[in-house]
Amino acid sequence: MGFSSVAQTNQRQANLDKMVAISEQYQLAVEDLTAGRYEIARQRLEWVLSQDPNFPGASQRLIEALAILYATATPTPIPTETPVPATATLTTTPDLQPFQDLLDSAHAHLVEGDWNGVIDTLINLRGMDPAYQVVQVDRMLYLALRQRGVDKILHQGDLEGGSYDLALAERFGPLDAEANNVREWARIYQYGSAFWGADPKTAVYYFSQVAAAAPYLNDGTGWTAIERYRAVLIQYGDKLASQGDWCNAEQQYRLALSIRVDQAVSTTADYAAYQCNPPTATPTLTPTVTMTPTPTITETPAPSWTPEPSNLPPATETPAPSMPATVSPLPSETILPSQPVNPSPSPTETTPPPVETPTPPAMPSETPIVTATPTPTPTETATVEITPGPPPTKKKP
Amino acid sequence: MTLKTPPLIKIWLVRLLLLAGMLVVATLIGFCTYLVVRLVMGANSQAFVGQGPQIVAPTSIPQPGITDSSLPTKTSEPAVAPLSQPTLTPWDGAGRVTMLILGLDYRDWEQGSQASRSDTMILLTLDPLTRTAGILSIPRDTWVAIPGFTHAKINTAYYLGEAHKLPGGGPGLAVKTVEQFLGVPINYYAQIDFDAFVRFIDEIGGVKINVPAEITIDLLGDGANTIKTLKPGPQVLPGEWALAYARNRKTSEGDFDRARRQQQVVLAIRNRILSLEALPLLIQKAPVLYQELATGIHTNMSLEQAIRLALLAQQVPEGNIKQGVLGKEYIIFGRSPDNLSINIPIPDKVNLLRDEIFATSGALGPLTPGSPSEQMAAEVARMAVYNGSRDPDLGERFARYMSEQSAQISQVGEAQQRYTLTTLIDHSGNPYTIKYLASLLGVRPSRIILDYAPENRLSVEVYLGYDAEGISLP
Repeated sequence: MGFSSVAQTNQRQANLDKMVAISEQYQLAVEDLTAGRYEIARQRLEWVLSQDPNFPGASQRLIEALAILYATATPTPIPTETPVPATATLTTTPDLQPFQDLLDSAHAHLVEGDWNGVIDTLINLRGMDPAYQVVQVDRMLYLALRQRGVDKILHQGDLEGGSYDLALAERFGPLDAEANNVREWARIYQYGSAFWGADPKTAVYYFSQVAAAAPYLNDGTGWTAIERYRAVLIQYGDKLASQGDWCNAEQQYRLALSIRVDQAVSTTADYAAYQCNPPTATPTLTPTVTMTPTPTITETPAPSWTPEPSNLPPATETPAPSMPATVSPLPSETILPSQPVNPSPSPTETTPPPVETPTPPAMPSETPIVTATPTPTPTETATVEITPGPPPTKKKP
Repeated sequence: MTLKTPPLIKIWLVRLLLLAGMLVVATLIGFCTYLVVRLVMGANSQAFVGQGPQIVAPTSIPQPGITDSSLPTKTSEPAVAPLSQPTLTPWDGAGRVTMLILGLDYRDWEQGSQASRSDTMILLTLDPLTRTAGILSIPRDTWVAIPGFTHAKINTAYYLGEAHKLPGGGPGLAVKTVEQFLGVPINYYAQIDFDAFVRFIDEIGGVKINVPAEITIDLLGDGANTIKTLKPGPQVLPGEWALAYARNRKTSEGDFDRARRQQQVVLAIRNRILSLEALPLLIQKAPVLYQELATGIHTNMSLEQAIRLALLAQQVPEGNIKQGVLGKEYIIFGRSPDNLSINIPIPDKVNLLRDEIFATSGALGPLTPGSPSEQMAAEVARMAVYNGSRDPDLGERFARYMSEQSAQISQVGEAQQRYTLTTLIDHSGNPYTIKYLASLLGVRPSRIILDYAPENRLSVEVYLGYDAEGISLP
């Protein structure tokens, strides 16, 4: 009696707790959506739906988040093969039938393009009998791992997971040209990502390559390679500007603008250009300069006019590493939730870059470690080669 | 009253489960010991309230000294506790299983912070088929992308998951971050508190550590007596000392040294558990241990899963356990935007280490026996040979040679065009045949094409090019 009562009370309490938690997560997800934290909203909504698939509004909200997050993703091709039902196989050894059933099931998954299904089924088969049809199982695993790896990289934004699958596939036999290309893109992307926020110059180097070869490769957060490249150019430009290297900073901004027009970046680029070639303090040349040229004289282009745009400092101002308030795209100095990029960059849009605007709760204080030696000079850069070109397609020679 | 005096059969059940659980630990390399003790004893308590064996992981930062929250009269458990489990890839029971071990930052823990960073991240992996295991340590300063956030040190993932109340909390985001960083699926996590660690080591009579060089350690707590020096050589360390030894960062390689010492302690626990005298002792002390450890371990592993894993894990010999640390050879030292020291991972090297630990064995690997030519023959690929070279006899000679190697030659002929480079087309997934041909003919990866068309009567097409003219066919 007492046992049953306690159990029922516990169950009721658990159900109540569950409802409260689901509602709380849903509300937080709505707030995240409003604030542009789509990735976090997605995580919450997926969880809500996993707990209660019919929770009012959750599906719709999730679709909203996904639509924004993955609008740039390359659509996943629908398998063209018609699913073929597994054919029953008569065997003379009844004990092997369960194994054969699993093998047939794996084959059906393979035909359907369900790579996870193939792999899971074959793992089960191997758990029962590692030696059963070992050659055929190896072949199917090779194919499924290869295909899943390529899918993960090209369509799911799971670059590391895809690379891992391809590494597993490669243990069976060499990868083909397409898989190798895709893995190489992922590899370059990973390099760029590794330096993100820490070393913009190196990140620019890597993202420039992957953006040229596979501009819409994405990393699962909604960022595409081309957008990463644009953002890291701005990061690098900001860094150079902060060091007073206005001319090179302007170059980075101009490159970013060549990818997508952005009013804020444009203004900053103009400012950098102005700082790069500032007007001289004296609007007219003095006789000593014009009349006595010497080999050591520096010819400074001196416009006869004094530009005084309203948003620029006076011409006599010493170039300072301070930036206009409109430009502080990336990286953020604190850890902030990311916001996905605009799915379809167009030359006319002025959407700001994917900055991380929301501020999380304060981090625990951490003292920088002074013993580490910063030597950000990757030795791998010389070995990186990637050939820009269209996405790989199956082709015959 | 009846709740306090369980029937005899339940006591035996508990002991049996405990025994099974101890086997886990014994084999799943140390830390799992905690887990199983808790799981086994947890099942006892939960049985009274009619709940399933799933372990509950509170979302709040665990506080030492909290009494057992699974007792039936307790209703003050955090409301979202049962729901805060990360949605992880469930272990299928047959393939590789991987667990993330998390240790929290002592400074945050000491200060009672609402959210804490993780100080220790160790991936444990076990492959049931090949009876192999691996340990990979990820230093706290590793610079990674955190899902939903921007790049940061990996130890902040746990904090962000807690602070933002994400589904799955700190463990969930930590697991996602590691999965995204390494590309390997993680099935379980276990977060272990300091007190639980110390208590457990003490209960098993300490761990035997071979200290490689003199080291000064700092025991938890205040006072002048917390600083100790360990001389080189093998010695048995009590819990407090073992924890201090595992936490120490003040050596020449800081975090990397620490990660190696942590792995050393993990293996020492494993060896201790496997030693003949420790296991019966542990079983005897299980009820006390449970009281001490119940609130100190947080995991998403169920009792059934733990026992299955235990039975498998005990069969992994020490020689089959690979160890790795993302040490200085795998990273570049750098600075974060806020000028913290960070470890920028070198993807190629990290992937190599990952593959060494996760991909060199297991059910997802090749099992076909034999030499490359035997493997090729076993594949029975229907092969067509087309001569695109300037040597008019090359096609015939090559086909004859392949036939002698037991290859299935279905067609031999002239290619419709000349080929500079030999090209292979695979229509149905024939890795061993392609590997053999690529090696024999020196075919470049860029000239291997997968054109999956299983309905094609040919499995593999070989287009011999100019580069094949010089090959010697033995």
